[in-house]
Amino acid sequence: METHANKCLQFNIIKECSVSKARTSFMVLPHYTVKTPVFMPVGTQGTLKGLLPEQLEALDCHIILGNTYHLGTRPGPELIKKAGGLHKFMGWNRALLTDSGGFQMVSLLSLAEITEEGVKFESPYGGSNCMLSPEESIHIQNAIGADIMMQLDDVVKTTTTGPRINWVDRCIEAHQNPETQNIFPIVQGGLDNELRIKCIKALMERDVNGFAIGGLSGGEAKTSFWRIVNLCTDYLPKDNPRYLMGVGFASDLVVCVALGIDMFDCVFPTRTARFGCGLTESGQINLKKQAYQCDYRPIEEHCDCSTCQRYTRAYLHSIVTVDTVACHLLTVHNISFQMRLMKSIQKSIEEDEFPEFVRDFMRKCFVNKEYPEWIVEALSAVNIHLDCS
Amino acid sequence: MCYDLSKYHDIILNFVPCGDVITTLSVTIYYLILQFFIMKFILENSNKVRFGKICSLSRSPNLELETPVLLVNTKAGSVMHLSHEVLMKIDGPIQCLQVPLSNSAKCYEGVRGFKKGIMEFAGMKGFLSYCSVHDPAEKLTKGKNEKEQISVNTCNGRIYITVQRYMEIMEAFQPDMYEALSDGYNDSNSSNRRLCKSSANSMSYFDECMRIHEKSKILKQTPVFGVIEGGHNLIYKEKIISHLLGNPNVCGFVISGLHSNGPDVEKLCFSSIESVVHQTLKLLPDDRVKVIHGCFRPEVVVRLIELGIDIFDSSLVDIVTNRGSAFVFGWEAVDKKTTMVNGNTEGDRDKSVENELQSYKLEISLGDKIYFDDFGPLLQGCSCLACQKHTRAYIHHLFVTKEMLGPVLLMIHNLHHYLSFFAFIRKTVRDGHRVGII
Repeated sequence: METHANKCLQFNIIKECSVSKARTSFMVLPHYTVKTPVFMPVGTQGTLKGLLPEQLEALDCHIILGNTYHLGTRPGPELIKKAGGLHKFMGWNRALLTDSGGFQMVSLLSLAEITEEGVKFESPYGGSNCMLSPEESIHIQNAIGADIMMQLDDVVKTTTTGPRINWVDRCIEAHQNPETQNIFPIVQGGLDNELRIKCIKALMERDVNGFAIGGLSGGEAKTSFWRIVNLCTDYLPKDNPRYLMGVGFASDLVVCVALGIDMFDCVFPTRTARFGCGLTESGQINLKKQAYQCDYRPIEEHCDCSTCQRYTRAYLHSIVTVDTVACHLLTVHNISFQMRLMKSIQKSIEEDEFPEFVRDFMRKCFVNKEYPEWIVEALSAVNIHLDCS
Repeated sequence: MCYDLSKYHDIILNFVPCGDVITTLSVTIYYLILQFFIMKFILENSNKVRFGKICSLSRSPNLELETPVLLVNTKAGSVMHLSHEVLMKIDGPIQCLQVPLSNSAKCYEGVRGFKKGIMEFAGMKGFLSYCSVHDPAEKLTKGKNEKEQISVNTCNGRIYITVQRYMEIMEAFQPDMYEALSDGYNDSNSSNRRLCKSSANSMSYFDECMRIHEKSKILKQTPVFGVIEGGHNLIYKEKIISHLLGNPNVCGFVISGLHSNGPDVEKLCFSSIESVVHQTLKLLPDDRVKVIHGCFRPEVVVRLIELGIDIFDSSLVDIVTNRGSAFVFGWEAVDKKTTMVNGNTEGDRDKSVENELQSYKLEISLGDKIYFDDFGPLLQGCSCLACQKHTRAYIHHLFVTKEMLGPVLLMIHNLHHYLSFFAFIRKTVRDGHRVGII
């Protein structure tokens, strides 16, 4: 197991929570050292929704996501390679993670068909048939050059008969840059405990530096969701980072950190900004509402982002969904909100005050202590007890 | 000659409230002197190309505007596509922001309750503001202007604004300078009937504006600009001018009625407006400021400055950015032969002044496939953030994928470029040279 792969990811745990499974760490990647638990904003097409790379740096963002399907289509792997990789192409010097493209295939293209060879689909820019195989996905991701790549996984099949483990091997086999890029395999298996365990055991035999948990942000019941996350973190090795794909609501982040997750991504904060919503500790506010016309507070009191330092809810109300500036301002705030949340989580773990942080967070999040049952259950599974009286 | 009047302004302001006994006489003198401080335009040179400075603005007595001035156009107080954080990354000198009523009327309720004016409301505290009626970057879609109210096309549809309401909005916005309301639906194609009506309406709005202005505690120290409508017809223009000149509180003049705003203004050649602008200017006193709005091409701007126009706006930047293009035109001091680093470096140029009008390339269109793998900056030698950190290929990709960062980067470049162009003009005319576009 001590191979080349260790060179491009070091996972140094700084502190573990003495009560729950939460931990904080430095994840040393080729382009940047990422402090975890980390939220990774999604920059689908080589840009994060109107923000300049220096704005993301000012927000203390360590790692962002790119989408292989989109980038592989436009501008295409050849151009990105010619530019010297996505980091150079988009002017982002910190860490990057790319997905495999498989999820977009299935969710965006109704005609996608999955065979042993790969994902077969009709090109959206012309009628020809294309094939995204594990090899092709890695080929594109190698051209992009992200610090972390995802294996191509079969989103459909894994929920029924178990994952195609041989696709992981084909991805690892096709990988051209093991010195500078990591591959994370994805734990699949739907809501079936046995399939999940079987998958984890098989993946742990592979030479990899981290693991992703997939197939869990698709609208399943929260009570099933947390149990599967908890099961996976029980079985996954402690000394590797664990990435829960597609999760990003504040309360989900706090619960899943308690369950032992280190990395998250979600389009929610940036997407909701485009719809005119700002995130606050007590939920999101829709600035289109008339109530904000003469509300001269910032989106959130005590927020130190460049938006809250200068702009009021009233101004945002008057320009929201009309002027692009409103969208940029809300995107900055919403990313800042996520970053601040993760920083508070990291700090509380370092000071071994994470359980108190969780209780405090939940009190602010749910008025009158009306906590959802799944949150109470999930937290008590890792010995954090909410005061429900 | 320039006198630093601002310090006297402070002395007077400090003196009056601190006296225990304020006689009626001293108050009268105070207001008389204050009239003098509302705005001062110091013409520093009028024999060659005119330049000067605007100072002693009542709200910002310590700020000076060197003319020719570029008003940076805004949408509801924000520079298009740019938050304050990003705007601060542009190192060109922003002198003053233009706030058109047509895109900022939606802020009225919010600004009124806020009580600190449109600039602070829009997160732009510290910038000077100039309020106009229409957004010169948007084509005027004509509506029905009545004797008491005008119709304004906004992003939320058409609204009707009475003079009373207009002045209430100005009171809430607290601009550093503003235009009196006018009936702007007239240009070179307008019928005589329309010109007649537009002139009559404008004069009546003006009187009503000034009546409210003079009584308004908030506005009476704010410089007002009179708007000269009347299309290209000098008879109407003369009539309006003599009407405006009847009021000593008018600090400057907007020569309007030349066009109907929007991208069509780019097509106007200098010769089609030269005569009407020249004749209009002859009717106006030398020591007041003259404004022309619209997205004229750079060579037309230069010629208008030579005719004697002091204030312009950046609507060309908005229009060029929105069509996905980046400025590449350059400039030089014509009779001095020092070319700026910015500018076209490719291809043959005809340097003769007579032929320069059509001989330069204004912009490149980033949607063009030829930029797919062009890893050069938007403009070689440009020091803006977009050119320093990003490539044509990347920005082409952002446009192909319709990503919001594309217009942001173009706006950064285009505004930087246009601000540099105006800074160059100010310097060059002070050095006694003419500006050429290359």
